[in-house]
Amino acid sequence: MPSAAPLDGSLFAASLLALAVTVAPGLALAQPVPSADPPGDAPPATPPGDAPPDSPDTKPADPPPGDAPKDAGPAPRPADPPKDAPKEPAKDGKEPPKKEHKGSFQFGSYGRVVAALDGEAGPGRDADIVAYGSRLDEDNYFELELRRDDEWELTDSKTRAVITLAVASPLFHWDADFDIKMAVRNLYLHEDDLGLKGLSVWAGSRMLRGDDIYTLNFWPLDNLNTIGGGVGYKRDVGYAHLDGMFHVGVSRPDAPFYHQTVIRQAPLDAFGTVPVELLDRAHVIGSLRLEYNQRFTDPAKGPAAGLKIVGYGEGHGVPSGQRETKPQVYEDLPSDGGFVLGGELATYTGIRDTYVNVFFRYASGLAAYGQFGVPGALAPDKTTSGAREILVALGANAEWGPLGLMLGTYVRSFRDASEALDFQDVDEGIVLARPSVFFGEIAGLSLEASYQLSQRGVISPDPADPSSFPSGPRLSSLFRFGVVPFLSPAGRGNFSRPHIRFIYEVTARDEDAKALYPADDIFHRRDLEHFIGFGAEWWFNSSTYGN
Amino acid sequence: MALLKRRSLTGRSFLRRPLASLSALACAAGVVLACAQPGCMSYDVGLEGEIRMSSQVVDWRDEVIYQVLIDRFDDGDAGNDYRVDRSAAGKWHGGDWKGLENRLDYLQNLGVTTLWISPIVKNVETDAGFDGYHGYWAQDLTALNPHFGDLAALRSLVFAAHEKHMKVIVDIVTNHLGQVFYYDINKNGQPDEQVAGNGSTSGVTHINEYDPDFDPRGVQSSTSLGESGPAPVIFAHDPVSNHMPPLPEVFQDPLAYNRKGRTFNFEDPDQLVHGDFPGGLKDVNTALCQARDGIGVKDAMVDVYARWVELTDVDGFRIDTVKHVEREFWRFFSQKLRQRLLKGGKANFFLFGEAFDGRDQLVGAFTKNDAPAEAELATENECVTDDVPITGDQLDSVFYFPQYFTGIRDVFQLGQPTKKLEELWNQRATTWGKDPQKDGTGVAPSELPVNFIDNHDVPRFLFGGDVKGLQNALAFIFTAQGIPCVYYGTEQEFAGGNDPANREDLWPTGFPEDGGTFTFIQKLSEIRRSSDAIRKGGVKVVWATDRTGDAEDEGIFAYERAGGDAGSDYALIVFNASKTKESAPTFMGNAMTVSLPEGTTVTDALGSGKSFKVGTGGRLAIDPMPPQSALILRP
Repeated sequence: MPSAAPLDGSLFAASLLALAVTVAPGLALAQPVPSADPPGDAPPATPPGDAPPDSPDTKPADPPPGDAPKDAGPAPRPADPPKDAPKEPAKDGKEPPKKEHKGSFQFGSYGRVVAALDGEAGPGRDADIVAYGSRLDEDNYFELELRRDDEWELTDSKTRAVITLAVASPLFHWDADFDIKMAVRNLYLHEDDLGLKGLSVWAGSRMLRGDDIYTLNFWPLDNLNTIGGGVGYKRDVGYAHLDGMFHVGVSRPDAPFYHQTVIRQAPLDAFGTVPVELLDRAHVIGSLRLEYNQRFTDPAKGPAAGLKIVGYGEGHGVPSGQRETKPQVYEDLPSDGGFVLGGELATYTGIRDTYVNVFFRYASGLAAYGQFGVPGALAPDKTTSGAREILVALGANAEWGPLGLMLGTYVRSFRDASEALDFQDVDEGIVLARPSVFFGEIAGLSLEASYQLSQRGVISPDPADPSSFPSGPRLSSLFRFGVVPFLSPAGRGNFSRPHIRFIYEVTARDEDAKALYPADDIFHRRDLEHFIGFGAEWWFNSSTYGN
Repeated sequence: MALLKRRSLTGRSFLRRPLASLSALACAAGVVLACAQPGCMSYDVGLEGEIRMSSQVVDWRDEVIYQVLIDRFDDGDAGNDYRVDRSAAGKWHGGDWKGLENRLDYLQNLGVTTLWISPIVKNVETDAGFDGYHGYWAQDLTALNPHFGDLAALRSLVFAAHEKHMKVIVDIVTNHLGQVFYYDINKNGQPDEQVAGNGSTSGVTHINEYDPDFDPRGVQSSTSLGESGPAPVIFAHDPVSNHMPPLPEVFQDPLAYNRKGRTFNFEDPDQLVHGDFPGGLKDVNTALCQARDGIGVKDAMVDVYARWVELTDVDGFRIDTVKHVEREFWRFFSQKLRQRLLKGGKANFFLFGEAFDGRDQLVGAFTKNDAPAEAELATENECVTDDVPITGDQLDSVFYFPQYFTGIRDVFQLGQPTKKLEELWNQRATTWGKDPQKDGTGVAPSELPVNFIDNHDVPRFLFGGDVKGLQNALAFIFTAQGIPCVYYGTEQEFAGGNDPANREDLWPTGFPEDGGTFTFIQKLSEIRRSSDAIRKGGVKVVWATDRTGDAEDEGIFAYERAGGDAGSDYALIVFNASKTKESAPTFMGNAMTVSLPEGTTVTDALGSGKSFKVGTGGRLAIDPMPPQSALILRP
């Protein structure tokens, strides 16, 4: 029916689909090196330092359940009727029925910029000793999202094509280098209601995220960025909203556990060498997310309080492979796998983003390292069996009149696959509170206080030497306090953006926290760290999380 | 067949399957796509599939050999110009087999009848800043060196040469491979740049793990605490420089090598035969065979090199560094190779070796037919699997290095007494083989030396001489008993010194054919072609002198070429090798005596117009000859 889709948007969407289809098999089979996730989606076991694992992240906290629909964007505009659209032949001589179409282009973005110094005019640095600390001193990061939304009256379905270009620090020209770290994090086509109301199907590269803890820049339950596809179904039953999504995708971190390129002589006695992907095994991840969201009143009649329960699981697997440890010495890597089981319990008022989210997550084997985590110390059978992560987290927000309060906390225990207690084995936690006062609609002042604890396994080189450090678990801690006055042109509220801020944070670290840094690092020597600077953060019309 | 797991040995399996498949594909495609259209892949007729070997040579004494360093002769195919750097003499320059094929007319006009081309097999690309352009750093004996072309290009060269009745000799190396492994002396698993060497024992001040000094026990591991046993042999694996495990696979067994380190005293027989050739070239233990020792080194050498003949129909091998090879190897290799090729239709295959040595007894020993002691022969026969026992036969000839030192250098360049040359020649009857090798050339090795004035391992003649001297020396090798061998570039009067200066690019000359030395060689070739005596006759020195200074015969050397297979033909060649003085073959009133009857008039074939009549008792009075001149006198 060539006359059925004569509109400009269909061509664009078709092009995107073609691109997505072209890219996806290539990634699945040939596996070009995928861009590493920007700092933040890194393995949770990353020690603290200047490159913290915290999220680069895309978007602020999930709007509290019950607020505006996550996928909401500007309402699609009706497309102009085609002036010369071909018409179906009229069998009965009457004018054929018109196939209406609504389509629109959308642009969205998330971004944060921080320019800061320490108290000695050195660079302002992230002082966290846990995997997910304060968001205020996170590195610069932005996303540009181009989206196309189409509504097809003919099939009573909706199509969304999403391209998200993400750029992580370093990205400025202040170092005189014209270079950036850039990745296409979203490139997918999402179809809703095709054939069945509430059914959704998508394919491509996609960030899959649920609710986050905004202050920690942390998605504690689900945070994937794979290339694959998924199917979902959602519907409302009374005041309740049911939502489920299953997805299968792949990633392949550029690390020796997954990938090895060796140089070999060109075949057939040709000149030179060619790279050979000796090890190229995809990390296959399947996820299932089931959400039950019970609103206590009719959401159509206004803000509704409610309770949300999420069940979540992931299955991880990599096939066996072989890599070269030195020329012509090969090591077999067995197949490996793992799983995640977790859940979320959330309650919300529906008014001014007030909510409390509690998360639990247990990950085993390969899944304990996260999607982009690279298993290091392995079990004797060269698998990740025995590795595990246990996580309990809480995120909350409340606002009363000119006051607001954000909370973020988690405790996490990670053990790698090696039985011995080592530095990668970590128990950690943070409690963070950010009370704010809003000065009318245009400005505000936040205070932020947090306390971090981290315990890692260390082995003393000489336990008898009093100048040496003792063997065993090493507990380090820090306390941080910050003052953040800000301008909020979009009005008051903890999730109102954009913000232009002044940031001052002071961090007091104990001796064990300082010992986590090499002796030549100033962080090894200073007791107090200052972070003084300006920052900006925005988001608008972005769909980089949620399902 | 188990010797070569990676590649099959025969042309049949090596070439036919892929090319046959290709042909089938091309034919199929041709039906559908009208293959005659431009762009359709095709091979010239005869360059694919199996070939039939043929015997191209009647008598190797009829030949004029021209030695070609392929990388430096002509660049006929820019498609194989990989890593080319013509700014440095030690790098690849881009010459190839196609370039040589393109110049066959040039060489035929020069009078050349046989091409000796540098090694054809795949080499280590580069090592210590020098490239393997010369071909003597073999890494894969089963593959061709892509810098020079592919099998089709090599076949094309051979076929084109044969069309012109020219023959092709391939240079091969059995003594060593390239820098394919290192001795992990300190056992740290990496090739270290310096592990020892202060110059006190070997004169080498920088000993690395690729090229450690000779140790009769085998290279030893050692650390600062002392020795710790034989050093492990670790095969390199660097695809970029082609420091890769060697092929065929038998050469990936450390036991296939002597593993004693670098020779620094060539007078020590152990070092001479079992030491690595300087530069880290790994000495192969060519005494080993599959049937007796369980490691088929001998067998593999016969297999890989016979295969190249079967694939290309080349006509002979020049064999490198023969004096460094275990002696029993030459009996096995030469005999089994000849037998295999003869079965395939290749007779009169020429095997001549290179022993860079001035001692005639040593050099000639590789052509002797004497069987070794019974017990030794019995041991050697334990390697035989085809029921054809080993005899005393070895090589058909050797590169006549003693003559290079004694004659070309001492007499023609340095003006020493010509008597030395006569004495050297007289030795050959006893120091070289007196009987033709079975299934060989049919000519006694002592009558078949390969005569040269210079080559790629010594300075060119003109580096220490002048053009007159060069032409005089050329006249000498073209008329002496044996086969003349001209190093490429001689005809263009190249004058490079020692390696690599003596390996100049030839193509910048434009290949002119009107130069003085080019036309002189043309003339010598024509004289030689027209004279059975010069090609096949016996030799008798009729004048040589140990006098120098003002003696009237200083520098005179004269010999007759007659008898033998020359029929009634006769030639008398007279040289004045003195660089400064007119001389004549006379002393104290005694003229030279020749074998011709009284009254015979002989005329100079070189074009001087001079004629002389034989007097009473065969006396022949020759006018004083200018310095560095020659007469080729024929009745």
